[in-house]
Amino acid sequence: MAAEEKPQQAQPLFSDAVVEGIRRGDPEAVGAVYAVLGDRLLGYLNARVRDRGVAEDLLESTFLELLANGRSIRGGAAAVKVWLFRAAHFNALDYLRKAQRHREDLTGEMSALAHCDTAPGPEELALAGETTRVVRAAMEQLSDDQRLVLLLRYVGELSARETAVVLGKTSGAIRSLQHRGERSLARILEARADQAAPSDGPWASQG
Amino acid sequence: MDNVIDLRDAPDPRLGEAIHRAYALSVPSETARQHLATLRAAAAPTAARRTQAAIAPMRRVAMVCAVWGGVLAAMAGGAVAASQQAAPGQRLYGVKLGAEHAQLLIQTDPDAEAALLLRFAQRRLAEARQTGDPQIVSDLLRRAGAAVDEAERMAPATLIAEVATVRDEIDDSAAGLKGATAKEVADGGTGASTRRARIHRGATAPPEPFALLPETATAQAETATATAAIP
Repeated sequence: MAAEEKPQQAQPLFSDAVVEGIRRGDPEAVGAVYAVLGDRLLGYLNARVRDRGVAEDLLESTFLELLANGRSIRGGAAAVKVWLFRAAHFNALDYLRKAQRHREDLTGEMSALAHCDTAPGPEELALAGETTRVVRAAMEQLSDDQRLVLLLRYVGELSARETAVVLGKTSGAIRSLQHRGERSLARILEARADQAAPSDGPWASQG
Repeated sequence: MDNVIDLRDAPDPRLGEAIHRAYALSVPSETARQHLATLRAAAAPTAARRTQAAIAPMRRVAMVCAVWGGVLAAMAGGAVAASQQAAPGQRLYGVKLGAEHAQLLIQTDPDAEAALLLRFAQRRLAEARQTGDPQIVSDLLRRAGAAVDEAERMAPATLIAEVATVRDEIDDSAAGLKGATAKEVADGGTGASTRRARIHRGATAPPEPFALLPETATAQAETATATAAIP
């Protein structure tokens, strides 16, 4: 968990041999990285595009990009991780821009239907617990930048510096966005808990 | 409210844990197997391309030499230097684009290539601001957008803010053009202006490179006239 800035991890996520394999375009090396980072990337992508199928497709595309372009990565395991999250970030951004253009082409009722598509489906809602729903709804009320930072820090488990590289901002800006995002999120959840009875509110029940 | 976590002043570590739990996913094993199989299948052609790439340097050098040969030949007449000030529609504008393409071709450092792409995008934007023809502006903005997309993919962190700025400027210009074109159509534009508006809205296929530039249009018109004149 990336709640606090930790000193550099002594143990890298994967070995130098894996990093060298990525530079050579070795699919086994890319597979080794997939095994370590696939879940985190999928969580981040799904949070961005809100569609599990699309998120899985984007995950595959991201690793195919790593296979094709890994030779350009300079640095060790940490650089590979940041490269992957940056690629995933832009893949999600490309998808969202295309979806936005598609929505703009639609009119009237069709537009309303397309807008509804971004909401979680019944299956997803059924699978998600009450706390998950409350936290996701609260996250939607944050600014885009705050939400992205919190997702990269807590779902991607990136450090502030790594998050800064992915989003093209300074580490200071990331810390500030994280702090403000956390405070806002806490206020929203607190207000929600205030509305609910102490014992049946999902956030309250964690106390 | 004894059971409620008060997170207003000092973020609780459980807040991060809650975010993590709300979004954390595991890749299903069947999906992972499919993805890994795709990676292995994709690796074979990639390896083949790399083998070709080992042979390709000579071909690449030859191609670069050919391009630069042409460019240098043109330089003898001062065409490249003169072309740097050429505006869309002028005869030397094609030379200007060719020189830019050659610069990108010989670039081996991705960071430098990203910076170059961004510079060219800014040039297209500046050219778009200086021309009044919506058709040409649309084409220039499309070129600028493509260059920014490419730059964004390879840009180092130091360039990201600049990428965002250029993209915003392109979006602003495109929005302005959209408004102007819509007004032209609403005012009962001619067939030509209506056609341009249709192209701008993307109702037709994207134009080929150079297709919308005036020198091409003039050449096409001349060809059409010449063809019509044949008995």
